[in-house]
Formats: sequence, structure tokens, C-alpha cells
Amino acid sequence: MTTPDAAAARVEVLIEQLRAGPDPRSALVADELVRCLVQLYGEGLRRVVERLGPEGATALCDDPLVESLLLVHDLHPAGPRERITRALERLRPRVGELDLLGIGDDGVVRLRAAGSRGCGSAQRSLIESAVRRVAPEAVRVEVETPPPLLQVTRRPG
Amino acid sequence: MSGPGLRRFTVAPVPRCELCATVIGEEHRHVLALADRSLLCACHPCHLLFQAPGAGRFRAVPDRYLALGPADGEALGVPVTPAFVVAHGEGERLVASCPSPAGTTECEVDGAAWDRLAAANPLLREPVADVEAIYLTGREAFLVPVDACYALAGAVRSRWQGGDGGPAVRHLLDAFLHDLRSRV
Ligand SMILES: [Zn+2]
Repeated sequence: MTTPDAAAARVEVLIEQLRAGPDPRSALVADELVRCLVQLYGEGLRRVVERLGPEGATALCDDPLVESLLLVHDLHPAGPRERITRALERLRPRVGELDLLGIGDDGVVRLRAAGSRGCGSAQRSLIESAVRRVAPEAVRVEVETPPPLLQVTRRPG
Repeated sequence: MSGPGLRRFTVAPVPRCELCATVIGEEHRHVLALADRSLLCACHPCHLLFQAPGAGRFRAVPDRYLALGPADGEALGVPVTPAFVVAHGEGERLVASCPSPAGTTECEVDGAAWDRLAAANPLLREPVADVEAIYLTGREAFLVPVDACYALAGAVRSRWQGGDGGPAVRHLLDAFLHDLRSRV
């Protein structure tokens, strides 16, 4: 359980077990227990980050686990635009040209893929999971691809 | 903003169905847990699931309101009006709950007195056991869902002052009756 996602997955499995048990309300109690602790540790992290200042917080992000915990609590020193742009740069060698069109107030992240290497569903989900990893606050990730080029042929004549 | 994984624990919980965890709105239905007569918030499909009689440990709370006509609460020996009368189980005991600093105070209703009252007004036999109550104002009776009774009891408990509840509780009870009249 070395990532917040793995811990979250385990927590959800255990809560589901309670919900299927004799009293489904125990699942809500468990939910509240987890909320209590996550918020306590989140508040602790917030104070640590505040003390360290932006530079110190950026250094903390060298550790992937710490970085993902800062993301859980909205404490990452870089904003979503910067985080997503960097993630797209890392993806380029695998998926080709990618641009961040914008992040809506509705939490939808809009991207444009040049589509030079196609944009199948596997590639889409690769892009989406990369964006979600660095921007868990994203509600949805939309990848725009250009329409296929029309083949213009001249009529003989 | 919430999101996947542990992020959902960093924000206040959204209302969820207590049976299946589906997110539900602030306005939602309830089911009654027969074991301890507590209410659980329910989504529409779960509520439907427990509408069938004898559907196990939970029973869906209906949302009908009816005016049942005249009923003399005092003839029942219920010490205070208003009071809610709920049948605990089919054909079993009748329990009256009266507003009190504890939310409600319960007392058992004399079966023979109830039978006399119901003979004069057969509509009093209308409520579904456990999930529908009769609200007795002293002179009139209304059929109300038990979740409305629980909500009123909670409001009474939080505003009770002094020996008789004070003006805030009187106002609550007046508003409740006014709301009842607009629904039937
Ligand atoms: Zn449900």
C-alpha cells in the first residue's frame, strides 16, 4: 500500500464489505472514520507545506509518494495547468503532439492531439490516466482529434 | 473539488443511499430498519425494493398524507397532544409519541380505547404498520409518513426550552400542522 490510490482501493473494498454485511450503515460509519483521519493528516501536511514555502514544497515533490499525497490534499505547489503541461511533455514521445486547450471552471480538461500517430481508445486512456494522475481535480478529460484529411483528387478531364 | 481515490475523504460527505451508496439529492426517500426503528436514507431503486410487504429487514416509508377527520385524542389516554400513533408490527401494539425535550416521549396506547375510536372513525385503520403514523392534534387526525414524524421530533428536541418547549416549539408545531393541511 505504497500509493494513495492503492490505499484508497483497499479502503473502498473494506467499506463495500461492511455495506454487504448485516447493517449497511456501518459502511457510513467507516466512511466517516476514514474522513476523520484523512482530514487530520491533510491538515498536518498543509501546515508542513506552509512552513516549507514554495521552494521546499517543490523539493518535496521529488518523492512520488509525497507528491501524490500533496495532490490528494490540493497542496501541490504547481497549479493544474503547469502539472498537466509537464505530463503532456513526457507523453509526447509515445503519443505525438499534444496541446492543453484549457481547463474549464467545470473541471473539464480539454486537450488536442495532433493525431499523427492516431488516437485510438488505448491512446486516449493513456492520455487520460496520465492527466488524472497529475490533476486528480479534473472532472473529465476530453481529447480532441482533427478530422481525417480529405483526399482531394482531381477529376481527369 | 473532489475526485478519485482518497480525495473523496477530504471533503464533506455528499448524501448517499445508506443501502447501496449511490449519491442521492438532499430531497430523498427513507426506509425504516425494523430492528431498531431507525431511518435510512434511500435512493429510488432501493426504496422500490422495500415497498413489497414482508421485504425483510427494511420497509419503505410511503409519502402519502391524508386527513382522517375527527378523532378525540384525549379518549385514548394519550397524555399530551399533539401525538403520533404508530402500530409497531401488524396488529400488534400501538405506541404514541409526544413532543418532549428528548425529541419524543413514548407511551403505549390502550387497545380497547383505540378500538372504540376506530369504530367511530374507520379511517384510523388506514396507516401501514411501522411506516405510517397518525398525527393527533387533539380534535383531528392525519395520516403522515413516519420520516416526517422523526424530522419533527428532531426539530423539537433542538429547540425545546423550559418546561413546555417555549414559543419556538409552539411555532414548529403550528408550522407542521399548516404544512399537513396543505398536503392533504
Ligand atoms: Zn440505494
